[in-house]
This record gives sequence, structure tokens and C-alpha cells, in this order.
Amino acid sequence: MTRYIARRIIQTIPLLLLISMIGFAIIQATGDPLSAYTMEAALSKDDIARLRAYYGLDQPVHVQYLSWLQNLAKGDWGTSYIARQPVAKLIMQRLPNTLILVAAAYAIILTVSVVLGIYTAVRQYSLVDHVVTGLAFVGIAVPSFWLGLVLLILFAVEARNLGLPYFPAGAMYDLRVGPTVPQVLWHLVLPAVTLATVVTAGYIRYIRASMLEVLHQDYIRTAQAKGLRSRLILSRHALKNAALPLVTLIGLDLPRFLSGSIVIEAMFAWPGMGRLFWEHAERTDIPVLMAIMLFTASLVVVFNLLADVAYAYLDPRIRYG
Amino acid sequence: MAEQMTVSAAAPQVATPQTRGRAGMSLTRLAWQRFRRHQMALVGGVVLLVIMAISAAAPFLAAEDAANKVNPLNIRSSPSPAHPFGTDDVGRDMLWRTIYGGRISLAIGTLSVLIAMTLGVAIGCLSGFYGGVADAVLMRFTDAVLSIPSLFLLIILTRVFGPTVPAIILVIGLLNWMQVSRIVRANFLSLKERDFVLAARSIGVNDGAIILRHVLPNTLAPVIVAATLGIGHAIILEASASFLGLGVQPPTASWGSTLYRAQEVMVMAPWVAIFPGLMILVTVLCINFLGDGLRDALDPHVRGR
Repeated sequence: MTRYIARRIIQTIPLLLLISMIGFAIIQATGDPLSAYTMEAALSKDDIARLRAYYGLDQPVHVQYLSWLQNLAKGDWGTSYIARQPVAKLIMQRLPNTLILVAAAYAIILTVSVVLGIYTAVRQYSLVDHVVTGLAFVGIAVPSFWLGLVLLILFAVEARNLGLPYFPAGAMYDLRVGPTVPQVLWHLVLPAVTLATVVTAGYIRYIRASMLEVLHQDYIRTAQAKGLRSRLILSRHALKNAALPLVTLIGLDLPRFLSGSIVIEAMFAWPGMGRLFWEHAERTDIPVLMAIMLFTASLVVVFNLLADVAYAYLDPRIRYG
Repeated sequence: MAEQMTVSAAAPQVATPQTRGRAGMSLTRLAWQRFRRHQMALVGGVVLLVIMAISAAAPFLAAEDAANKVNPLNIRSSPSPAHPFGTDDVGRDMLWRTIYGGRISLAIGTLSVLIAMTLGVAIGCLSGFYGGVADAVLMRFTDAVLSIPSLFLLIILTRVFGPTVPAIILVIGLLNWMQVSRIVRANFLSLKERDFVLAARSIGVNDGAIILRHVLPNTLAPVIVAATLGIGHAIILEASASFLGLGVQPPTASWGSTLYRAQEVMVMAPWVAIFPGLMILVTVLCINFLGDGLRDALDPHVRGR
């Protein structure tokens, strides 16, 4: 197992290099990082040229890439052209906010999908099963930003008009109150629910399907025959096997969430990684964009590996050579 | 076209014992019979046809002007018999904007999937058939693109190619091919070892013909399913991009770009946000049902469910 993990980690290095090359090539093609300065009348052509030389932007693309790579090898992510701050610092400011949002969303996703997935599998073809399965289909097809808009209209705008308690329409906390725990939790509800819905709907269907498959197997009947309580059968015998596909799904989905959901963070004015990318993409801030892209790609690779390892742990029949 | 595809897609089923037992029925009819049992897929297909028919017929019902004509005297009016979907912040009729927006969204969805399928099938064929270095390079490239969230790439690429409709079709096509190339490659890996490929090779058929005439038709079933579901994915991607202001530019409407404007007026005119989003929801829902039905109908492995 250790050898397998070591080999997988070594394999990821060329992959990440390839990703960084593709990323660098297309990001630098989006525009001139100094366009904000070239508009500035107070700066002469000479000033711009000096600035360009300072950032190394006068070099050919491959030279720029190699010097970026060299700095990265030394642990230096570079400096943002726009914020004029170290990229690592910018990311560390935003990452905790995204983590809060993702943790809240995943708390909703896992609780709701496991409970409803198991319930609908045990009570297959019941009224609840039909309703939940129907809603799950709708949930998978709903565009998350539209769901966010509808939730905003209902629970931030209309609720307020009707004099009911309403949720805030954006931001992480009320500036007059400050970032207290209740404030952040209150502001978290709408973005977390929006983020969670589509994923929850998909997971319910997966858990229901794999649970149905497991429940029809002999060892479950054996457990029933020897008189085990059904709660115990479900939680200890059935769920562990039914959770297998879920592990793979989480391994695939979670890293994408950790890089921040651009649309939802933009809509709810949530200052996370997605918005960082979005704000800096507009001005071709290469160091920031490269860092976020590579960070995400590394997470994807790492989580894929973790999912495979967890899979082997949950299902001893699986052996990696 | 669809008819031919169904026939070839069902071709590998000839060998399975189940189909041999029901002799006398064409493969298309077998597939159709299985599809028909899937009631939601039928409903989804019919609703989708209606949406497409309305989109196609829109220019014959009213000129595009109906969707783009502003009327400062009638802004943000709520749904009424004259304007069933209401009007937006500059007095444009939302029903017509939704219909004309649907033309753009559906066109982007289908055309981008056409690009994605061509690319995915080509890469999957080469990778799976030739193996070796070509396979290693192409699959690492596929992995690389898969590891970057598609909205990141979408934002960057729309800035490279500009926010025109053809550019958006191209960009979404470039982001949607990876699953298909993996499916096709996996199928090629197993199919190329079969006897019928050996037979073809031994009578001197060249590689190109083996790939296109002998192996590829046998992998079409999952490709058709992936293409169907891919249209839904593409429509949502376009809407996400337009929602961020990167997609279709005004005055042209797409479902997503209508929602982008709706953010600012939703307090006073929520209907501007409701209807285009509802159309995305219904369309993607129908596409998903249709995809599920096609999977059951075309793929011999899931038979009997």
C-alpha cells in the first residue's frame, strides 16, 4: 500500500507540470496584466516599460513560465500585479472563508443525503420515496445560481416585505456587528443551502441506489435471520458497503468546492477563493490565477488518491499492487 | 440520422443470448420498445421537442425585434395577458425574451456538444486504438483538463476568444469532451482485441476503416447518452458564464444573460428572474430523463432493470 501511494504521488508531478503549462499558456493569452497602467495618463511609455521589465513581462512566454516555475520551486508563489501583495497571503486571507462555506454545505449535504437516501431505499416505492426521488431529479437539474436568486427573492426580499424574519442578501457579517459566530452562521444559511442543493440531490440518488443493491444481498438477510435489530443492520452492515460510491463522489467533488464556487460567492458577496479568482481574472493577474489553478488541481489529485485509499480501507477485497 | 445511429448503436447486442431469443424484431424496434417503457423519458422527450419547436418557429411568430424592443412606458410590469411573463427593467417583453433566449441557449447547448463529441470521440479513438505513447500523452492531457474546474477555464477562455456566440460555443465545446474520450477509449481498448477486428485486419482493411466502420459504431450507444446529458451540462455552463456577465452580450438574450440582468431588478420585478431560470430547469430535467431512457434502451448491460 505504501509503495502504491508513493508511486501515485510520483505520477502526479508530471501531471501538475502539464496543468501549469496549459494554465500559463492560456492565462497569459487573456490580456495584458498592465492594461490598468497603460490607461493611466500620468504614466509615460518609459514608466510602463520599466514596470514591464520589473515584472519580467518583457520576456518571451516560455522564459516567464520558467522563472515562475523556478520561484515556485523555492516556495515563492509570486506577487499579485494588482494587489501588490504576496499571492500566498492573498490566498490565506480567502481560504478560511471558503472553508467555512464548504464545511457548512457539506454538513447539509451529508446529513440530508444519507438520511433521505437510506429512508427512501428502506421504504422503496412509498409516498416519501416518490416525493424525494422526484425532488432529487429537479434538484439535479436546477441551475444553482438561479436557485440562489429564487432563495434571495423569497427569504431576503419577500420575507422582509412581509415583515417576517429574513436572511441577509450577502456578505459574511454585518459591518455594524462584526464577524461574530452567530452573525457568520446567519449569513451562511442561504449560500450554504444554495451550494448544497444540487450535490445533495445527486447524492440521495446514489445512496438510494447503492443501498437498494446492498439490502438485497444475502448477508443482510442473515443478519435479519439471526435477529439483529434493523437499526443496527442498517447502520453497521448495510451503510458501510453502501457508502463506497459516496467516498469516490466526495473525493471528486470536494476539491472543486475548496477552490471556491465562483458563481455563488459572487452572488452572495462571499469573500472566498472563487471571488478571488474572479476578481483577478478580469485583469490577467497571472501569479494569483496560476496559484489558485494549481492549488485546485493539486487538491483534485490528492483527493482522488485519498478516495482510492479510503476505498481500499472500506472494502478489504480491493487490493492495490 | 437518429434512426441510423440507433441501429448501429444496438449492433453489439446481436451477440447476446437475450436478443437472439426474440428473433424477427429489428434492433431499432427493440430499443424503441425498451425506451417506451421509460415513461418519464417519453414525457421528457415530448416536452423537449415542444420547447425546440417553439424555439425553431419563433422567427415565424414574431421578429427578433419583439424580444429586443424597449418600451420606457411599460417597465417592470408584472405578468398580464398582454405580457404573460411580464416586462423587464427597460420594458422588453419577457415571454419573447425567454423564447428568443431559448434559441441561443439551445443552439449553444447542441452545437457545443457537437464539437465536444467530435473532439472526445477523436481523442478516445486514437488513444484507445493505438495505445502506447499516443495514449499516454492524450490521457495525461485529458486528466490535466479534468483537474481544472471548468468554470475557471471557461472564464479564462472566454476572455481569450471574446464573448460572441460562436466563441462561446467553441469554448464550451472545448470543456465538455473529457468524459466522452474516456468512455470511447475504454470501449476501444476492449473492442480492438475482438475477433471481428482481427478478421477485418486479416482481409487487409486499413486502420482508418477499422476505427470508423468496425469499432466506432459499437461504442456509439454510450456516446449518444453522454451527448444527450452533455447538452444539459452545456446549457448550465453557458448560463453560468452569462450570469457572470461573460457570455452572450446584450441586446441578444440567452436564458443565462437574462438572469444576469435580473440580479439587479429582482427586488422590484422577480418575474424577470423566475421564467428564464424555470426554462433552464425544465429543459435540463427533460434532457436528464431522456438520457436515462436512452441509456436503458441502448445499453445492453443495464437491461432487465
